[in-house]
Amino acid sequence: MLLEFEKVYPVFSWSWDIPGDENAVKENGDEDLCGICRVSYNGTCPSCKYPGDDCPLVIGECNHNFHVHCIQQWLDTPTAKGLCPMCRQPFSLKRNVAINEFQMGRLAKVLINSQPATLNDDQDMMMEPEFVVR
Amino acid sequence: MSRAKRVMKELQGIKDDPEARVGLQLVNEDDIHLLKGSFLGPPGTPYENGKFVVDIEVPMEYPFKPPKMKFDTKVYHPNVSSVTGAICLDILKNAWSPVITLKSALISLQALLQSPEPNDPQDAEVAQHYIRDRESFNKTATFWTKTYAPLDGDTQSAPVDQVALYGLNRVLVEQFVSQGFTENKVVEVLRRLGIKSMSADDHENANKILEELLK
Repeated sequence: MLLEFEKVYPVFSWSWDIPGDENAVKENGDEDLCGICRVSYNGTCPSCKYPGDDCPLVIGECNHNFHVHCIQQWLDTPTAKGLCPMCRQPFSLKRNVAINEFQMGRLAKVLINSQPATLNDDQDMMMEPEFVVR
Repeated sequence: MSRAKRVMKELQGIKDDPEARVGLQLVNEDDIHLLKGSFLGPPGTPYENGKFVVDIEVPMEYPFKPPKMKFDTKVYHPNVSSVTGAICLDILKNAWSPVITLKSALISLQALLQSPEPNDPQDAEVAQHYIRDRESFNKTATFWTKTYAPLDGDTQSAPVDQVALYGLNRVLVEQFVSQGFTENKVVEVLRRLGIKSMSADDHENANKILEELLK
């Protein structure tokens, strides 16, 4: 029998390459979610349309991962004090991780601005935008 | 809009986890920013067998700002205003983190009922009661739970026992009622003076109370 292929439809799938995640046991097949927006790592943050390079994932030194847009928005608030929302350690990007490379510049600015504030942060939160630490 | 998407996911998440025994509903189907949460009083506390309803307001900036929560059900607790239901809890203020969900915040409120923090009170009078006379505090808190948070949902229509409601010593109240003052008046004066009980030979306070009653 001779087969002739008329058309070929290749299908690709992708996911973020998260170091140390290869053996992670997924709970009842659940995908890992971004703790901030509760959308899968491989999905988009709520303001983006296309997953992937348009809405990248970043990996923290503390091994907590978020959509870059989500963590950026958090670190921009004064309540964040530059801390990881999960473990409340100062948040920084893990070095030598491929998917972090392109985000270093983007987050560096935010991280400098949001170094743990030592001044009057124990009282009522200062949520107003003008309070954002310079 | 991140707020709407997340709130919808959270509503579904609570539906999918009935074992947590936490309730969450929209007040109005097409308004995502007002919700009512509920949970059961922790066993082994004066809040046991009570169902507590919490008013939730989700701000535009949620989850980057905390939801506003206050008790809809009246609660007798050092960190909850006995008048407005306002709550004093750090994670709802400056210790907020966007990974906290409405569900986990409600569970934290449940834990707050379990372990009051009288040194950082929301209601100073209730906190004083808690610190000075734990047994009397527990009685009052239990009475509030039965009166305002009954599990079977039937709020008592009978007039509420005011002496128990404000944690006053019954013997003290009776002492003045037997002198011809109405119970309401005695309760009002004792509350105003902040006296819940006193020793039999405390003539100074007894005179103060009488003076107020006779005004």
